Order: sequence, then C-alpha cells, then structure tokens
Amino acid sequence: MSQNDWLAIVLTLKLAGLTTVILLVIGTPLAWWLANTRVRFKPILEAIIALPLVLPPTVLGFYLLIAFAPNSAVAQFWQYLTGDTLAFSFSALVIASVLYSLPFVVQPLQSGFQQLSKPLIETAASLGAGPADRFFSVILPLCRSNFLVASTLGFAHTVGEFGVVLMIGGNIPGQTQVLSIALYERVESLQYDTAHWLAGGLIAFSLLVLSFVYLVNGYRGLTSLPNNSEAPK
Amino acid sequence: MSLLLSLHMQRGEFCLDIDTALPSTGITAICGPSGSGKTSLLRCIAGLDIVPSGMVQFAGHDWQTERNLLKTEQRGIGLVFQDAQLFPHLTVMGNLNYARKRQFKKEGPSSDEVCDWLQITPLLNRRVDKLSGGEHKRVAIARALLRHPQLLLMDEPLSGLHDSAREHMLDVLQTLPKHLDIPVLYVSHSFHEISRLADHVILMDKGQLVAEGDLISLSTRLDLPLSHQQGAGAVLTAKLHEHDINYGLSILNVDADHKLTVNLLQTEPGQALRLFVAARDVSISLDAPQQSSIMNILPCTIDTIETHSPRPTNAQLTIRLRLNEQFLLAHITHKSCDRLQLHKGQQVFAQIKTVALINEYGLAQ
Repeated sequence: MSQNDWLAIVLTLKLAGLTTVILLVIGTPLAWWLANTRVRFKPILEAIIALPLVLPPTVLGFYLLIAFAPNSAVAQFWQYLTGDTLAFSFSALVIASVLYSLPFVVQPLQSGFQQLSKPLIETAASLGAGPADRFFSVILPLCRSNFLVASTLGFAHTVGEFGVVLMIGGNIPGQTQVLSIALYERVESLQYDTAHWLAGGLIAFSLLVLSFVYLVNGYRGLTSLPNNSEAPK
Repeated sequence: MSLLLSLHMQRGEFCLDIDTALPSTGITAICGPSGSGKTSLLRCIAGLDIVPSGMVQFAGHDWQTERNLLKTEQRGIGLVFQDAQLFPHLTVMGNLNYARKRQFKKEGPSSDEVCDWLQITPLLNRRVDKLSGGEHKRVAIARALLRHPQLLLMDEPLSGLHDSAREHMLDVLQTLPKHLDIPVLYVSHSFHEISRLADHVILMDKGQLVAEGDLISLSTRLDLPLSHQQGAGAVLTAKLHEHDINYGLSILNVDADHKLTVNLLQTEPGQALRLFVAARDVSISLDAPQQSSIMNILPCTIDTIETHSPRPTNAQLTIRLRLNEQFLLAHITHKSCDRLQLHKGQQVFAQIKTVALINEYGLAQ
C-alpha cells in the first residue's frame, strides 16, 4: 500500500472520530428533547433527522455542494468565522458527516431515553441530584449500551460514507481523500492489489464493529439498519 | 404547624383544591379513594409537579411562592415511591451511598443506624434485582432517610406486599418515630396501615380536603368514609393499670369507669397505649351478660346510629358508642338493631371480642 492509502486510513479514522464526538454532543440533548417533548411537529422533526436513512447520499451531497460553494451564504459565513474556505475542505466533510450520520446516533439514544423510568429520575432529584448530576449518575449508566451503540454506529457509518464525500469532498490526499474514495480511485486505475487490501480491511472492520454492537445487548434498532448503498460503484 | 399548603389547580376532570397547615411532628396519613389527589398532593410538596400560583412553605422556608421556586433537589425531602425505585445499576450499598453523598443536612442518623432500624445490613452487597419486594421497600426507605431530609414523603410504600411482609414492614415503620424527629407524610388508602402508624390524618376526596384531625377522633366519625370501610374500628388510648400474672393478663384503664383486659403486655404500669377495636368485633347487649366468656363488657351510651346504604343491599349498620370521652364503633345487622329497638342515648353494654394493641402511644408522638 502506498503512503496515500495510509493517509486515507488515518483521515477516515480522524473524520469518523471527530464526527462521533460532535454527534454525541449534539445528539444527546436532541434525543433527550425528542424523547420527552410533546410538541405537535415532533414527527416532522423526526422525519427530517431520519432522512439520510432513505435518501441516496448524492441528494444530500448535491445540496451540501451548493451550500458550500464559495459564493453561498453558508460558505461566506464560515469564511467570516474561520477565515478558511469551506469547499473541498476537511471541515466540509465533518459537517456533511454529522448531518449524514445524525439518525444513527439520535435514534438509539432516543429509544434509550424513552425507556427510562421517569420516577427513577425523580427519585434521583429527591435525593438531591441536580440535572447534570442526574445525567451522569443515573441516565448515562442506565443508557450505557445505547450510548455505546450510538457511538459505534455513528463512527462506523461515517467510515462507510461514500456518496456525500464524493460530491463535496473532492479527492485531495491527506485532506479529503477518505478510504472509500481511495478505494474507488484504485479500482478506476486498475490497482486491484491495493483495492483488495482496502476493501477487505473495510469488511473486516465493519464486521467487527457490527458484531460488537450486536453483542452489547441486541439493540433492536439495528434491524432497521438501512441498506448501506455506499459500496463503491 | 409548619407545612403550609395552598394549591389550586384544575386539569381536565381532575382538580386540586387545598389550603391547609400540616403538623411538623409525627406521622400524618393522607388517605382517600384512588384518584382523590393524594399522590398529586405529595408530588406538589416534593416539587415534582408545580401548581401555578400555588404556595408551599416548610418550616419557614419558601419552597414555592410567587417569587421563589425551589426545585425538588433543593428541598430537604426524602421520597419513597410506591415501587421503591432503587437504582438498578447500583448495589444496595451503592443506592444508600447515592443519598449519603448528597445529604441535605450534615447531622442525622449514620448508615449503620439506618441499616439497623430497617434490618438491611445483610443485604448491603446484594444487587438490587436480587431483593424481595419487602427488601426493596426497606432499602428505599433507608436511602430516603440517609438523605437526612427535613420531611419524609411516602407514597403507599407498602403496596404490592403480601400480608406477612406488610405486617413486618409495619413493625419496622412503627419504630421509626422513636429514632427520627422529622415529620412524615404517609399516603395510603389502607385504614389498617393508618391505624397502626398515623398520629394525624387528612382525608381527601376529589382533590379536596374532606376532614383533618387526629386519628383517634377521625376513626370514629360516622360522617367520614373511614368508619364504613372494611376493617373499620375505633382507635382508643388507655393506660396500663396492672398485670394479672396468674392468668397472664394485663388490665388497662380506658378512663375512670372503663377497664379492658388483654393478654399480658411487656409494658410497665402507667404506660400510655394505643388500642384498636374493630367494629366487627363489638356486639351490643341491653343488659350486662352475667354468664359470658367475653371478658370485656363495657357500659356505654349509643351516640349515633348510621345506615350506610339501603337495607336490602346492606344488612349492616354502624353504631357509635360513647365511653365518657372516647368512642367505640360496632357493626351490627339491621335486624338486631330493630329487635333490640336500639336508639340514640340508650344505655347499652358493648361486648368486645378482641382488643389489638397498636403501639405504646407515647412513642408515636
């Protein structure tokens, strides 16, 4: 394998790791709110979050491409904030991955939060635990497996991303060339040896991750895993 | 009087309409039929439900006023839910430590003491899912006490227990006032539990306070549902007069004119006692039976005769009998009432089959 292949692997892990952390930070309060709110537009919001499960990734990729174009409002705002351009950057990949993997983190967390016994949380409050204390001392330990499943799925799904990245990422080694794209390129240029390594490695990795998730406690939401149409075509 | 409540709310069919002050000592029972608002009242006191523009003040602290609203975790309460609600990811010890790390007051009983009172020391290293129903509840109570609260709230803590476990729990709970000097609010619909534990009773119905007073006077008020329940009866106070060692009996003075004989008690003469006489264990006779095996035959006056429902459907009626300052209840049939031509003010004799000792009265104060 070439240096670029290793760069792609490192970049993919970096992207997936960062995306997972961001998703946990955003997804936890969002899932908590969804699990407890009674607002009428909740189904619409849930549908929006679930969209990446059903849409071809190219659809999301197309809209993000437009949003990240240098003269768009989003890109201008980003440039104002950070001084960098958004198009074909690692930051763009992170934003896209967060949107694309959101349901994989929010859904397991939401189902965990919905199953929590409310009197148990109230008991914690009566014993003197404030909201943050209750989260770390009761909710987190009781939903441990949900958090584990959410982070694993969020991570693995980001690793398996292809369509969105292809649309918005470009193919810059070390910056936006992730594993799936690298594999695609090797196949295009008939480097089947390397392609075998990359593809086989991804299969082994995914198998490992999924076995781990199923092992954790047979999380039911997995049965609703979308058919991952991300394989290089 | 230190728990001041003013709670008014209308939510669909359900309303809460309470203005009262509850005592700051002893066990106060909140009872009433299901849906009467007992649990809602408790939740409002705990701050788990908030009634808009309501008022909750405890011992001079504003828990909820127009300007101030303390969250549940800021109120010095211990809360015991119906189904214990132990943290399943912690051991028994872990559950207790959870409260201990978040104590409301520094001073208070130690872990060892509380475990001893509730008899849970052998359970400390158990997992929560390995406990029996009664053990769950005892651990939940211990956990609430280790919070060192200013006020203990219990919502039907004995529900779901079978009879022997319930009796055991009652024995345990009865000893608590001896150790603690915090007020307890105890929600229950069981008169049996209330008669054994409570000093003060609040009766609720449809979100309103129907009656309030000490257990002894409320237990025999015929206008209240307590006296019509299955297992209704009179709570009396008496003083231990003397022991009759030869026969294994103890003689109690209800008042100057009335004595009761019970099985030998382990208490010193002079000790105040609380007794329970079930209405179904009292029968009425027009003259003093000379030849009866029943030992407790007390002269008394018929105070009230109450029919609770039309005759064909209910053969029973309740009679309240006056013994100087205190009362007895008797459930007898309409037929006997007519045959003896019982009427208000009549002098009769109450034959009492069983007298149950509830507790040593002084301790429950």
